[in-house]
Amino acid sequence: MQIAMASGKGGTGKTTLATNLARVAQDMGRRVAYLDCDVEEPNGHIFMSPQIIAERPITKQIPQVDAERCTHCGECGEICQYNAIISFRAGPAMVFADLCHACGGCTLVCPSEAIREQPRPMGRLRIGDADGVQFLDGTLDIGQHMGPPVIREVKQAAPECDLRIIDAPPGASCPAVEAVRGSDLVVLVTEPTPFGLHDLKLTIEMLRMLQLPLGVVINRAERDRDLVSIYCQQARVPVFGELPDDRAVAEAYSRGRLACVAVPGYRRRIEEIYQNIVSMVESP
Amino acid sequence: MKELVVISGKGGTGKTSLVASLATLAQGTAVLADCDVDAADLHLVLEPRIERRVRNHAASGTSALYRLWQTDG
Repeated sequence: MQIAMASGKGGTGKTTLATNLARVAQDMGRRVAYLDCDVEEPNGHIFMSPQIIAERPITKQIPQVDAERCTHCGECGEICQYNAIISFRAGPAMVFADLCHACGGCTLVCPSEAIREQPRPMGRLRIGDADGVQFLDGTLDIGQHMGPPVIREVKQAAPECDLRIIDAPPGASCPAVEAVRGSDLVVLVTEPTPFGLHDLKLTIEMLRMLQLPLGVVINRAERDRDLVSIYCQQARVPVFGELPDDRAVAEAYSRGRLACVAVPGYRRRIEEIYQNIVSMVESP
Repeated sequence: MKELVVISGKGGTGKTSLVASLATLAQGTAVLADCDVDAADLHLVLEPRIERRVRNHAASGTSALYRLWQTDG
């Protein structure tokens, strides 16, 4: 079972929910993997305190043009959807590595076999153990701007388990899409503010296009009938639970501690949310 | 013209709140650009009158929506 924590708005509590769920589900006897796919700013390790077992660079395959062989035919530039390789009448084709999505199309179509691919580092993958939870995170190198290939590698490196928890990057564009892809369910973490609601609607639109089942967890909830729960009721979006706006939770967070360990009563709420998620995934 | 950029690594730290607050202090002509194109929220605070919507066609064939606006006061 793969569950992704996503959110249009940043700072709503994706990592808080993902790390607490991982801990609680593992304590309940599930084999859990936690995947931090927020590769621009992976923070999950702060709460999970994993022991890192393996670490390796993540590369992408970038074309290199052999000037001797290039006939300037232009086939490579024709197939590239991102203008990452451009052919001129004079001189060999030029490669713009930053724009390259490493699809390999140019290498395939080149009729004179003038293109070879070279690995180029773009990020790092870490694998570890956090008190029984399998821990993985990806970090995009400074200066790199394409998260999806790194996210893909993190997901590919994940071991077999009962529950795979994806901590997705915020937003509703390519990195978020790559992170939630293949999930049995997407949990949208939001807060009861106009900003939370506005960005929640954008993310729901994105997930409906991807045809992924979804539900909501309202974080920093203050009262029963807030604007997000009213919206969810009207739009028939399931709400898996609420997490209270509690100073003790904020204090645990500021010290990098898991609230389910540090704050009495928090574990119970996470367990309830976990049960609600499982029953939605398992319902026919 | 001076250009100030408000950024943050972590989400939800208060970029939009700070920009909106600075906007109330701005003297003379000020242009505010919400570049958080994934989930732009500045309009929720400033409630601008939308004058024009422009669709931007990027080279790869994808498009993003930009809004030009003016706030009262």
